[in-house]
Amino acid sequence: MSLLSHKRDLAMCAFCPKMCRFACPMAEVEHREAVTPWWKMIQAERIGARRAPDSPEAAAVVYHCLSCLHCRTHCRHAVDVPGALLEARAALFSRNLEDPLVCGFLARFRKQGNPFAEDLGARLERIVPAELRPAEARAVLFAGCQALRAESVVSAARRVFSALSIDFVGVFAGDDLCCGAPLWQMGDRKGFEAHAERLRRQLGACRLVLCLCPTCEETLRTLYAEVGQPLSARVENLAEWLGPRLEQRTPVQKIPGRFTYHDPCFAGRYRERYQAPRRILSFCLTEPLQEAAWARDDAACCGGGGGVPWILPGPAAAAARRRLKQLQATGAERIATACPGCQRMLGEAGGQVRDVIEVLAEALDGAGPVPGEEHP
Amino acid sequence: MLEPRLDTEELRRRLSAVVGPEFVSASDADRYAARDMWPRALLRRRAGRFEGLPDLVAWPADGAQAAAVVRIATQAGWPVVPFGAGSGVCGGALPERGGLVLDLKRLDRILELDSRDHLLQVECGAVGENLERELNRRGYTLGHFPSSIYCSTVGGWIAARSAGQCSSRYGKIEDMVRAVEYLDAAGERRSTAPLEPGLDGFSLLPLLVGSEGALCVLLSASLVVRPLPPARAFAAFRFADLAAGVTAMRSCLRAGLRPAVLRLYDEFDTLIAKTGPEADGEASSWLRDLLGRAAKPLGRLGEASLSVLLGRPALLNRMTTLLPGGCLLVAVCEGSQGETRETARALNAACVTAGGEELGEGPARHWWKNRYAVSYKQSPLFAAGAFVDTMEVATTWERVLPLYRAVRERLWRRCFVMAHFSHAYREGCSIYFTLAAAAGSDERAIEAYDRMWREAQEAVLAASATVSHHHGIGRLKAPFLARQLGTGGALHRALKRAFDPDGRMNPGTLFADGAR
Amino acid sequence: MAADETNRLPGSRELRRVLPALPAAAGDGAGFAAAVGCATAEEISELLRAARADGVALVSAGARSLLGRMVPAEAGARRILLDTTACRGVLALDAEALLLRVRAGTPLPQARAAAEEAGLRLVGVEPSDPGTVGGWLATTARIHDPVLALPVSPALGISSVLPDGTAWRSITSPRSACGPDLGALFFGTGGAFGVLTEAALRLAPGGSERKRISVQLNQPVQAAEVLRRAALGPLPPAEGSALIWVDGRGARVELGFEGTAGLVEEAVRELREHLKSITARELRSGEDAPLAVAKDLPVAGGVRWSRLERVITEFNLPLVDALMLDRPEVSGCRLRVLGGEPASLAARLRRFLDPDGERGRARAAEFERLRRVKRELDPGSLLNPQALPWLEREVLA
Repeated sequence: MSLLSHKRDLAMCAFCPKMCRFACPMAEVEHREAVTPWWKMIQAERIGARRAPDSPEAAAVVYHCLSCLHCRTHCRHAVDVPGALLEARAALFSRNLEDPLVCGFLARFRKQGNPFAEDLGARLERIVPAELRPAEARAVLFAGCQALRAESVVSAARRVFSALSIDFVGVFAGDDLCCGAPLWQMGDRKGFEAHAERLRRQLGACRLVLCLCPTCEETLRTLYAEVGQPLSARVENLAEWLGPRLEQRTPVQKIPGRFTYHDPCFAGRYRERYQAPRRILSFCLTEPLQEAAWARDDAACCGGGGGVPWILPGPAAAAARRRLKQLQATGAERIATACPGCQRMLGEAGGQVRDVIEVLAEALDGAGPVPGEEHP
Repeated sequence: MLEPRLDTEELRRRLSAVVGPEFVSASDADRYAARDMWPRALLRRRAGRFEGLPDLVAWPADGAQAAAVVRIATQAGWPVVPFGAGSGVCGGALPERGGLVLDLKRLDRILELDSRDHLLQVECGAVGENLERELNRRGYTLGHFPSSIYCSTVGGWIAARSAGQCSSRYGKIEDMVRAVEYLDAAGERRSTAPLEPGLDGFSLLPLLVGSEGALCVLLSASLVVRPLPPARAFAAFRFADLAAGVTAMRSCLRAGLRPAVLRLYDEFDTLIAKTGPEADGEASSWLRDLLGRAAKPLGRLGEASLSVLLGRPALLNRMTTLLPGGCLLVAVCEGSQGETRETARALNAACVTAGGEELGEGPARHWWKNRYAVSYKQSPLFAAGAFVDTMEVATTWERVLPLYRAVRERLWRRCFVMAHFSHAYREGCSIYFTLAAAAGSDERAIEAYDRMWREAQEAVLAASATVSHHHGIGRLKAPFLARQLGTGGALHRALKRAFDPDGRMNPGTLFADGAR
Repeated sequence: MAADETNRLPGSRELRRVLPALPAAAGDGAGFAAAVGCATAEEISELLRAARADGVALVSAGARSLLGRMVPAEAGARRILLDTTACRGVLALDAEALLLRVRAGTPLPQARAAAEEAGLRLVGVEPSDPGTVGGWLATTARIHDPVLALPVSPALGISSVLPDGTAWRSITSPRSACGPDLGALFFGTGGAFGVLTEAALRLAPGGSERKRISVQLNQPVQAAEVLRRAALGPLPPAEGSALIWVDGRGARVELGFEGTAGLVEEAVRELREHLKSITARELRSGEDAPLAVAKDLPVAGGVRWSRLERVITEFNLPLVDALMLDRPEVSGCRLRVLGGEPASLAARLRRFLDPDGERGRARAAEFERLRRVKRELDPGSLLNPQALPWLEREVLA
């Protein structure tokens, strides 16, 4: 893939009166014409063609994209804006023209192989007993960096396995606990490929990889193949995979209260997985979901995508506040989602957010809420 | 105009003190992106020329900041160009003389929604679709649905006297607005007193609505909203010719009906309306497919490329006269169950009486589903090397068809012409012409574009129709508006001098010759 | 024109040149230096140019019927009266576009008759309005569009002579996006920005079905609610008014619907459903004689529905005999008062509705801007110099 392969997309955007702008969270929170998909695509085209204005400052707008794909919901030309902008970032990186913020982040990432620059292995050891972290397993739960950092959803997944007597899934505990998506997002294709290759080897003989995070899922399934490191294992989303296993079950304790659901971009618009998490919630909850006015393929992004929080934390947080407002407008007291990244972003914005896996754990074993759900 | 008294850096420093350094930009990206969607400027850009760069862009957070920004800029002698979402197609927000672009999109809050009086108080930077969805969530609608609703702001609507697709029921924006808060060129913050229901005293409001940033900066507006309609009905009819369709529209309005939508398409636009939007994913474009189909009776032209076809407009226009199939009229009725039912019934009777053949709900539902599709159609044509623009004009009923014919005849050899008739009133209606052509190079395309507009507006002026119905004037139509006004230009100039004596506000737009 | 009249304008060379050739006014010009009755735009142009050259003010007037808030024509030694009633006549009736093109001096009854002859009705003109078309437009900035239930401009196109004597004809179009609506400078501004010579007035065909409903209500607030619902209903009423007695006799609402049979029926059905829910009584024929209310009641204001309820429940009503509501719109209606001293009551009510004077300040700012426009177009304020000050006094009273 290269910017060339997006030629048609770039042309469609260049002459469009910005029909998707209202759906672009970055355009909405930054209010700049230069970060509307329209201008970002014009800039990407200019980067591809090495035309002015190609100053690093002008080019930097291509980093203002959450990869949420909300633009495409309202694009009659089905343009892949995130795809083109990721290519533009890669082009900048390959020419050493990447934004200084990108360099700073990558240096941080390289410290521990994850965006938090933290020893996530230590966390894993703390929350998951050794016997559940087999060196080699046919099926693993790939927690991902966001879930490990939050911890609670990993514990919840364990409770769900236990309640459903699923004893064949271990928790992945290799050297690399992050899928490497941030490298891809920053345009460091070589770095990403190397990361993918390492992780592919670590996953070795594994036949099934269950992901908690839709970004990990998309990365492992699609992007690894794109850089020539396809996994031999099947990659599935945990919530979706659990669906059929709940069919004959009844929850020990239904959970009261009014919930709304936030569709993560990579679960929703990328995978069209709208029903599976909602089915789990209706399995768990006493009351029907309060749907947001902006939901499913029209759900706004939480601000956590596209690597934006790592380099542009201000706009990312603003996008999270914007999304939280939409969710709170439903009148729901609590928000459920199916992505640890979304949970973190919306939680940091002040929302009471739980992962569907956490809700499921509580409903299945009746042992009360998963500790640590409340965000500061 | 006088030279600015402050250099850019000093202005930037002063503005930063007001809005914060992150909300003033002199960056290339922000300066290049601060422009509207005037097709002529798109052609220039396609030719590799970016023109009309502001020196700075500022984003005030509220009315007070906006006032301070305008005061600082105009006192220092800088032009100020108010900016919403930049979806305009007339060069109304194109800072050709540099200066400051005042981007108002941070002013996007709903200040009040009074459910009893159906009055909405909203800031002018609110983007249409976001506002409408929020109103819907609360059980209301503004009833204003321009095809640019995804990419235009309340302020832009008021500044350009916008019309939505449901104007026959809800009116144009000038019918909905009851008051505005604005800044004059000196940065003084003022409000018009809300129009008092049932009273007929003078108001400044109609002089500010439509002022396109050349008299003032709009900050917020009070608008009439309606309850979200619980029912909606669809109907479509085929008429043997345009005359029969126009008669049907006129009788619907005359009967006092308030259909939300009433749109009549000429023969070629009928073909597009019925079959268009699905095909527009491809750069080869919806138009080429249709042109191909249309061309079949004449032989093998259908295989020719889009640009070649559009390069022979006379032939193309001739072909459309041979099209079978008549003219399509789509109608949408909404309101309470009873009103919707009765309006649809009366509308049906009027259309059948005028010779309409009932086509069922299908075509109208299809239109509804694709009602904003027109705004996406520009890209494939420009990408394919051609160009397209739209001209929306209006006149009274007896002149509608002569106007249609006059424009077509005048443009016969200049560009491909198709049209639909929407925005119907008791006294007349608008015609929305789509004009498309191609030329050998971008330079020649710009020449052809200018010639096309000159001819088109000549025909409109000769027919005593209004040069714009809802896109506004901008740079594109300013010379033609001056001619339409004739001696009334003195009134325009007096307004400009009264509000903006030094000519700082959005210079070059609306008033062809500024204040002098 | 008699030579002795022109002698009253010493030093007015241009006027002395043109006045003798212009016809005298039909009406009384007492107190003016001269009274001229121009019949054409050309004559008005000539007069205005001459008056401007000589620095003499000109006051235009139609029938001087004091219709509505017609600007009183103040006489003066350096003022000429321009009587426009000779500039009269129906020019064309366009039954297709529903427009009546008339000259501005045409008496309203004549214009009305021309419309009725064609089975049509002038929109916005009350049946009893006297005076001329020009006078009506000069005092009427907006009329009520019963179809949209919103205000619209009173004419679609106009011809006028601007203060410098230039004749101007606007385009006649149902709507446009051609900059500010310049009609606003002429409608309701008392002739400050030009002398109207022609106008295209809106006509309405009248519905195929008409229905009048009269209702007796016990609670005054119910009357406002009935009007409000009607304005939002399936067929906004062509006429709607309510009289609210404050002595406990309740209220009476009258609604007139015009439209297709189905819509009229639907509007009446919805109305009756509402009446049933509030146990209000619809008057039978015989009981429903139209309310006899004086036409020239002072206007307290155009009141939003939500504030009207406050007026009804909180205003010191013992001072008032009755409240008259009419011209219902989506967001409110017109409020007039009946009582011992209606004018002072109306003023008190206006203060009640705008206790902080916010509206007054906004109106003052509007006039300040309008005066600037006037200065630009008419330096020295020679055309209808009394118009803006008078309007401003009225508004800010």
